[in-house]
Amino acid sequence: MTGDDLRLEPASVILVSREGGFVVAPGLSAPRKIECRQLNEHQRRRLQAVLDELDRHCGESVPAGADRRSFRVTLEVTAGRPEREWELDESAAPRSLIGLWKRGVEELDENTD
Amino acid sequence: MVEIHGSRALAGFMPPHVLERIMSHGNTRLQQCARMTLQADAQFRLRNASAPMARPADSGRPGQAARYIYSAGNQQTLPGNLVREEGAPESGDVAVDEAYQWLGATHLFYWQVFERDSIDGNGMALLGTVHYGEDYDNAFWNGAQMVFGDGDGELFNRFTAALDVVAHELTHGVIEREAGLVYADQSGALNESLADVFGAMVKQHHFEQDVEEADWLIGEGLLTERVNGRALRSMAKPGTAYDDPVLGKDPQPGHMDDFVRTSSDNGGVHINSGIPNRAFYLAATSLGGFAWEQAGPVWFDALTDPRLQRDGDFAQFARLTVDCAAKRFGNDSDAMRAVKQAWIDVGVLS
Repeated sequence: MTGDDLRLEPASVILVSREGGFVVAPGLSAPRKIECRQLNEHQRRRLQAVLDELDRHCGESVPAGADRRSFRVTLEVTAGRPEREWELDESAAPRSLIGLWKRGVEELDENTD
Repeated sequence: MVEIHGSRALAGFMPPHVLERIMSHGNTRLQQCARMTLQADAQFRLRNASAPMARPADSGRPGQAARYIYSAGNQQTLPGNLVREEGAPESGDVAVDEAYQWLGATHLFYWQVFERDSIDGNGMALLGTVHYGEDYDNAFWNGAQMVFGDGDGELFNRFTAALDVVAHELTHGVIEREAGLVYADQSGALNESLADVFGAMVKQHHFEQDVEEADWLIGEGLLTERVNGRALRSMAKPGTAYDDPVLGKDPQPGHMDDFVRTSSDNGGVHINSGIPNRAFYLAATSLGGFAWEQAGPVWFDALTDPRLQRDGDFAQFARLTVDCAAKRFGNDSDAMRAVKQAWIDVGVLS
């Protein structure tokens, strides 16, 4: 995936949080914030590629059970107003999303294309 | 009412992701975690492409558990490799042997107190997988088995260390088979609360603690010494289990006045469960003795009552417990009055 079709704007902000699980602590579910205006074009294209990958995973059914964890990704253009939201069970989360949550912008510098 | 819209209200907290903290200790560690993430993704695709594994045999004798403990070997493939099954000697692996022991204690509780034989009431095999994932800070029920992580060692110990956590996960299976409570909003919080209530009772039953001796904590022993906290939840005083720079402050309310409206955590199922948790604590301590002798059976009767709807809310469950207390112990009995007063005290009934 190359993220050639770049639709993220400089004003776009992405919030990535991990929710749920047996342990629900405010400090652990706080979102990681990525502001596109602070990214170079390569990083922005890679971020777009991550979001495109979410689109492909989001149709998958939610697994049964309880205390499962999930990832929530929110796209904002105007601060505090979600434009788009994705929610995926942890088991369905692509590695690029997990990397984004764990490492933030650093994940976008990886050369995995 | 407390309003939290999505995750925005939490944005004031420093985002202290556990693995990020661990990874900051060295580049080698970072590479290892990245490698594990790659493996997990590959396993996810493999798992989806494979046929489901046949379940091992259920128990053939009423009241006899049929336990199967697997190790995922720090991968995320279920169920993993079978390490210990019913009747086998200790494996020497602490997590395996804890899972075996605590699943046994939970099975014994349900059988001795409620004459319920395992998750489905019919001797269903108990499958538990330990060593799931790398530094995995969670335990869950996946609709077929229980799964336990080792914890990251920084904030959390292994999740098999606490009996009530193992009992909590098994109870999710019982709830699924009985009320089938929808895992969102108030019915989800009720689902979580029931898992805590029976988890706490299993612990009290195993250690023969009466309501005064019990700590009424959930997950005591899970937090490492680095964390400023006693446990993950307090049934006696919701919102007081921990207050830590990394974890934040325990967000649980203990009264409907403080009910949290949020879109995260399936509508706050692990947050608002503090309200019915406290109701059980109040009823049990008001009645005294062992919790599983009066309050426990009332809660079990309500859980297994066909009138409890899948999307039942706190008030419906509260009214059901009052009715069940009256049926089991008599109208205007101490039990009935204690149960009703407990729900009034947490603002669910008036």
